Amino acid sequence: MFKDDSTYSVNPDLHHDIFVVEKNAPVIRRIEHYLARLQLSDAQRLWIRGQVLARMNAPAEKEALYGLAFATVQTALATLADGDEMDGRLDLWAGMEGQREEGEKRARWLQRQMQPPLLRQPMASRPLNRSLWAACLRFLDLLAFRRHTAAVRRALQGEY
Amino acid sequence: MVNVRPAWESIARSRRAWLTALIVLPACAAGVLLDQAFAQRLPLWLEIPTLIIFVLLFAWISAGFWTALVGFVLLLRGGSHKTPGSPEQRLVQPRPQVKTAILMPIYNEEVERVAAGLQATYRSLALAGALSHFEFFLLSDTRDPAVWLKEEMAWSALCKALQGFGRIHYRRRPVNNKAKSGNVADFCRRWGKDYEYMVVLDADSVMRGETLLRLLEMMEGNPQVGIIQTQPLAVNRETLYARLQQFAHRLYGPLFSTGLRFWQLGDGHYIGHNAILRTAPFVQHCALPVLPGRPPLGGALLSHDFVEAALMAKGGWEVWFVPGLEGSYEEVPPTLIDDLKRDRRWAQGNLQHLRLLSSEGLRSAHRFLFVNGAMSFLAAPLWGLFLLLGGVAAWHWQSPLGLGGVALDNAWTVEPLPLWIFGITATLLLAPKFMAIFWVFWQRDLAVRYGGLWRLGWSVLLETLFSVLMAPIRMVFHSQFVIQALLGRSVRWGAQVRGDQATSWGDALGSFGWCSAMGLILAALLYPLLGGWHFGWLLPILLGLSAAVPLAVLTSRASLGRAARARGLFVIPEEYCPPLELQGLAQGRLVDLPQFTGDPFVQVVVDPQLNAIHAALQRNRPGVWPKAAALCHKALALGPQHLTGRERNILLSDRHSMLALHRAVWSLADEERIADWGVALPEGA
Repeated sequence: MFKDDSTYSVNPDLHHDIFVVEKNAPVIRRIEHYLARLQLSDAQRLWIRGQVLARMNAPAEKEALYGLAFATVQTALATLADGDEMDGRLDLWAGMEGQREEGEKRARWLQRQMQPPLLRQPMASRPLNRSLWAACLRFLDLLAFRRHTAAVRRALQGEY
Repeated sequence: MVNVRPAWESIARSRRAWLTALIVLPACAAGVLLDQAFAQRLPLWLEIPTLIIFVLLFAWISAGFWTALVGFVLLLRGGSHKTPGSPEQRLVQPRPQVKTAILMPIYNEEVERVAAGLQATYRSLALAGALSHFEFFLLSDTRDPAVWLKEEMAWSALCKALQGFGRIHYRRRPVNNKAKSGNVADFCRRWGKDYEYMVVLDADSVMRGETLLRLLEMMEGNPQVGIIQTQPLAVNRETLYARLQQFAHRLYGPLFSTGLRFWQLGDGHYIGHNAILRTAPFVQHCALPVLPGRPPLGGALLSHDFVEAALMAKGGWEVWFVPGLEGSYEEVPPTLIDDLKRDRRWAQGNLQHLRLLSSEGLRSAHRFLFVNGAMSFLAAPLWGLFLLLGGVAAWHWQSPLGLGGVALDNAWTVEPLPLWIFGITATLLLAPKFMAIFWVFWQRDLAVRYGGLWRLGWSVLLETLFSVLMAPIRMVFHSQFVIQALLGRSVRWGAQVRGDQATSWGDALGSFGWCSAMGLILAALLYPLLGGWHFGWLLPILLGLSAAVPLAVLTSRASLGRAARARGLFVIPEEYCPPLELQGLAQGRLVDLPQFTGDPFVQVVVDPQLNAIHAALQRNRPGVWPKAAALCHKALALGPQHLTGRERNILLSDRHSMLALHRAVWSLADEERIADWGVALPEGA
């Protein structure tokens, strides 16, 4: 589950941030667009944004900036979720902590909900004698009142 | 339990002997009487085949009549559930640990409708307090990646909305071996051991919670029973065609199903859905054989349900049909075209059953069901042949020389068939309709639920008119299906249309144009040849054929269906007073499903939550990584629209690829390329 808001700082250096945002406006806009699609609390969003802005200080080519920013978002999500970032995104969607076993990953939990554990057993068709000649012989038997059926039915006590 | 013949077996044997006598003796008697009428008029080569076909068809329709008559009498006397051995008589509360799997096999279906049906059933079960005994399985055979993603997201949304995690499951088979029966068998192999019973539903099925609980109680109280089949009612459709079908099923259905139960008892049938099955004997006995040879008459069985019931009974288990149990629903095809498409599949499947007739150990009742099923389609070419022979006979009478040189002086006034035969045939066909009206009248409040007795009468009249007009269209199509099957042309497994989609004039012309043309040409040819009197006998058939195109178009209109309903026509009790689960179905369509506005594949790549859900549900498949990497590059360079369905399926089935693609798309620096993925923002946003 995501860390409690009180365990991380969300006190950004506003003056420095304004400078970085102006310099990398398209990248930041895209990251904010991404974050808006996640059900993050304000504190979580601010903290992730802060992490991204901090990384934007590092010198990088324009082509690499989007990748760098997005990688930072994923690292931040993973940090918040104490695991990997996919589990973080799942946590934000499901929000049903109580049903998981101790230490179980969200992805594993979701897979278990989708398909219960396998209990394999064989199921193969049985031989079926479709011979016309044998059928004719059985029919003759039937006419001669020598009836026999393949399986006798089970009757309940008191029913026969 | 003891291995002694149950009491119902001897009762069933005697009833079936009576039924056989009631079918065979009148048919033979009618044949002999007709022979007397024909003897002086027709040459032998025309007389013999005409008589044989007449006797077969007479027996076929009289079987329906006697079944309806018995059902009518039983309904007036209060039902058929009092026979010894009836599962309704022994209900036992389910043991706490008993688990039942509710299976919903789906194949490229309309996901919203499937989810709504599942929701309605789930909520009804919760309301009945029986949820703890049931788990749901959506078993998908879907090939279309867009539909697959919708199913997966619908599953996750349903689980979240209904708090159904661990109670609603989803599985998609990557290989669709043996279609629906293979899908159910796959469930049995994987999880069947864990569930004592399974309820099989169709994609459009809805069942009341109390009904499911009652089925479970019957199974618990009757350990000798392998399958209990309910009678699903056709509901929910709005096109005129479907409303006609719904009305006919609802009004006449109880007579036929009660009668059927009377003959069948513990040798009942299974229609493949809305039934409960005992899993262990199903696994042990009901794996389907593969017929030698190639489709359509060989290979895997296309119509599995009758065979599964027969194999279950062969294994010593009882199969019961319980038409009296309410709260079981399905939907009918919305248009004539869709109905005929389904019929084509059934025709091939039912003809395959004939190859199982000689199988050792099958119960005679199930052999009869195989013949009966095949006759549903073989009756069409037989009827066509009978008409053809009748036409030849009429021409023969008209000809001054005659084909065999037995010309009649008063040929213009002689009936093509004696009137008494026409009268008896009409009675056999129409009597069930009158019985149904009488039964509704007998039940005090029931007439109101059909819109009142006056409107009920009009509805029956119009329904009969439409049936008469559509019968020849079915005849020519069913004949075509049978001939194609015999010539070796197989049908493919296709998704069924479940929405109310109207047939366009173009589509109707494409499908029925030849039918209308045939009707008009025959009318033009036959009138001068046969004369007015004999032509009059063929008029309903020629009229139906000629009107095939407008009939197909007009009956497919939902607006006409709604107009009929507004006037109280073709109303069924479930519309007058909708049961809770059907109300829930209408509401269920609106609840909590993720809306895919564009390409679902693109949304699952781009949206962080949908991507996480989908990726979490997949495994890492290192075997496809080299191929998947190339596909990722292709998608990023050219855009997702350049990926084929198969390529999308490869990417979608690998967790690593979906996560990588998600990361790569959001990291794209090129604004044009990212616009293909719907991520680009307007300047200044």
